[in-house]
Amino acid sequence: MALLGAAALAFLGSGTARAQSNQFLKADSRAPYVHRINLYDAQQNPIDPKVEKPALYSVKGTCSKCHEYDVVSHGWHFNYAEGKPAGRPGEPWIYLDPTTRTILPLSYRGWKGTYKPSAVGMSDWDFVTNFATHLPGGGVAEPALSSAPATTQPTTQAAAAPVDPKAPGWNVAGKLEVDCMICHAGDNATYNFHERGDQIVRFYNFQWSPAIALGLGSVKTFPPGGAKMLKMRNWTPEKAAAEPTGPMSRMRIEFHYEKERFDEESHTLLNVVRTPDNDRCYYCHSARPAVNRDQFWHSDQDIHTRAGLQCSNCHRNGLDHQTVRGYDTEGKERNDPFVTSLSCRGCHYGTEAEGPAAATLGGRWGAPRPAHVGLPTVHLEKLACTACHSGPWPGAEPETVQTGFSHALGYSRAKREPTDMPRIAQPVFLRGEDGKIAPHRMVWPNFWGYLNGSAVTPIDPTAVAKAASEALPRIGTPPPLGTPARISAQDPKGLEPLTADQITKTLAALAAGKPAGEPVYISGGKLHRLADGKVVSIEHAAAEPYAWPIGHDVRPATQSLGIRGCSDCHSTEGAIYFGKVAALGPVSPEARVVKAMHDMRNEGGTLPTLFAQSFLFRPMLKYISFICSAIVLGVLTLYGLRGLSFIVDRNRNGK
Amino acid sequence: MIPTTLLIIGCALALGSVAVGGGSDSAAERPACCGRGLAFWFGLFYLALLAAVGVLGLTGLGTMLTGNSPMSGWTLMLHCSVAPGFAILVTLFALGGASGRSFSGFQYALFWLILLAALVVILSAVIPMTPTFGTPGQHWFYNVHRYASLALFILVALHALGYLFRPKDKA
Repeated sequence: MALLGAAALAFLGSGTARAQSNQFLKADSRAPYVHRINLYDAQQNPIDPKVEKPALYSVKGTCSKCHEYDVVSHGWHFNYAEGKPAGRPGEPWIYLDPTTRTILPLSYRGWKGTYKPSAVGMSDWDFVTNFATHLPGGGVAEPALSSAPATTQPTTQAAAAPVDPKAPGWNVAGKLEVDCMICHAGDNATYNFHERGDQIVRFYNFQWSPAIALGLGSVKTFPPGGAKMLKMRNWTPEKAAAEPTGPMSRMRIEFHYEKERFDEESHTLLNVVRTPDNDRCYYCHSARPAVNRDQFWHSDQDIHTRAGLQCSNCHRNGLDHQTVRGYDTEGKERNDPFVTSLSCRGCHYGTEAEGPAAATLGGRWGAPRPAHVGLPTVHLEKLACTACHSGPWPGAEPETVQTGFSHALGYSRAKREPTDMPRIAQPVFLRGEDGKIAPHRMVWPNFWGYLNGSAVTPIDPTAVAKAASEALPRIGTPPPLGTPARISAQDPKGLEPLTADQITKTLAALAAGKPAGEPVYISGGKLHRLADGKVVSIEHAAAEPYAWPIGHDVRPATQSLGIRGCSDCHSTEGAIYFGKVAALGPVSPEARVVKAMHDMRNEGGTLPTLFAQSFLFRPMLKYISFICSAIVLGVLTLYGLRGLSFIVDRNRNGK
Repeated sequence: MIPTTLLIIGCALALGSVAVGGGSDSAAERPACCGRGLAFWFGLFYLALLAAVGVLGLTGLGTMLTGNSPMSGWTLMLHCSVAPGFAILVTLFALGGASGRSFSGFQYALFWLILLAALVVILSAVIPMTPTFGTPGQHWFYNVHRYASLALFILVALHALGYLFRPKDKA
């Protein structure tokens, strides 16, 4: 009997050991693993969709059965608030408030020229509800768990995921976990970005959004309106539990699974891929010229995608999800030659860094080695590859562009006009942190702030609107009653510049009471302040635009700068020197800063002008040089032959 | 196509002129009355050539020696502005000095070396301006131009010193 008991224990023990060893199993094959799997809730309990009140699908609970979610969730797309090295500047989040004409670049990463959301009174909750249509989850959208235990029989599924009961909003909406399926869904039918964005921003259904985006089911709230409605009525799971028959307990939020998606064992098929398709990236990382819709077909795609490459072929990562951004100095910053090999130069030329041949040789994916016929090598030292090969062909003025981050491209809305704020200019040729000239996108900040010394601190637009009162009539309805400005059709009134009278009254209103400094208005590249009751405008560092380098779309060699000769850049019309960059935004044309491209780089204009003019004589220089060389060669040849003849004659006579 | 054709025709004409003119106009046949006039102009061109080489050397070699290469900005502008004048002056120097009457034996030898170096310097500067060679070729021509210029500068300096301290009967 004892032996039987021991054998039984051994059998059970081995089963437990087998179950534990299932975690982080890897197929390690290029062939995809078919994810016909159970779904799990936040406590990693398997979900039975057939029960009356099934548990809610949790990305973390499901994916972390086999994948190290805790490693992935510190990757580049999620670690923006962790204070990690941020690398070269990237695209910011742009906070819009039409009433105060606020256009403020925000970033948790601390890039110079951006502001932390807290600097303008924006909490993590505010940040998420403003920008979550294009947030992948995690980061500040996934606040730390509280110590409160989960209820075992929740009156609503909202209580299934423990959150901080004191945090406003999170205790109703839940957390926005890293949603792996945003990138790793195998096709467009599997994952609905727009639906996800709607659930988050319009209804605050954070923790339900991954399931809804996957089409696993639908959420119903009583009263209708999603978790936002419950939040607005101050509902919490604790209040509902405290009054079993009261109005709070009648409010609820439920998720109903589409039962056809599941088999008898509660498995469902998730189309999961290792390497995301371009369409997954495009939802957030799209950009298009700010033109009318009927001109969309004018622009070409990136040459690499036309050649069959996927975004993730170059922008790779391992389990740590530290996605390669692809700029030249990134490999050095990360001390990884493989990262260098994924930059433009690394792929097309190879690198001089030590490392495996596969990483240092160049020519990856059959990347052609550029000949750069006729191009003096100094250009390769002073210009980034993108200067000639990326972005739209530069014209007399930069064009305006709309992006996924700033204009919520990918999120359907009724109207998106070319004049919508923020107006982002591209390409603007500036020197990067490595000193090389590269094309950038640029946005000019527009905001109210307090000037202390030489620093300007932004003021919360809500406080500005409140102080200004009638001087700044309300435009649009901000959350929670309305939707964020970036996903709303923009009221033309919010695009109009403020009048001098409005600015004066608002500055005066802000100066009343106990201001935290001298109130100023940043707009059009200038700082506006009150002096003797009148608005005075000066150029100021705080009014300078924020710019970030662009890498795409890459044009083919036959459409690169210089293909038509040196005069593509070295002429008095060369955009890289003489293009006109105007401060864009809600500012009148006569009040804004306008600078030449060379001025944007703090370079004088005399030398570029003279140098450009000298290129008119370049053909003559070549003619003169070749003809003079021919004459000198003729003299050398003639007298050389004479000398040879003299030697031959002397030898002949000497015999 | 047309500019290239014109260039080839121009070079051919130049070569032909040298061949015909040089073959028929030996030192013994040149009339004596032309000697002093030509010597004046030749001297003038020679001084101008020294000045041009000086400017080009300072801007080009000086940038290299001070570790600020490649040239850029005003230095590059000056170098490229003087370069065509240098090419013309070298040509005149070649035509005027080929007979050897103006130089001593050592200076005459230096003269031919200067012409050879100048030819390399000019061609290594202007060939990369054509859409013919890629980056490796550009690097190669840049180095050839750099070291040929150094050799030319030294040769011209020696020649100038030799001319300054020449014996009086070789004026």
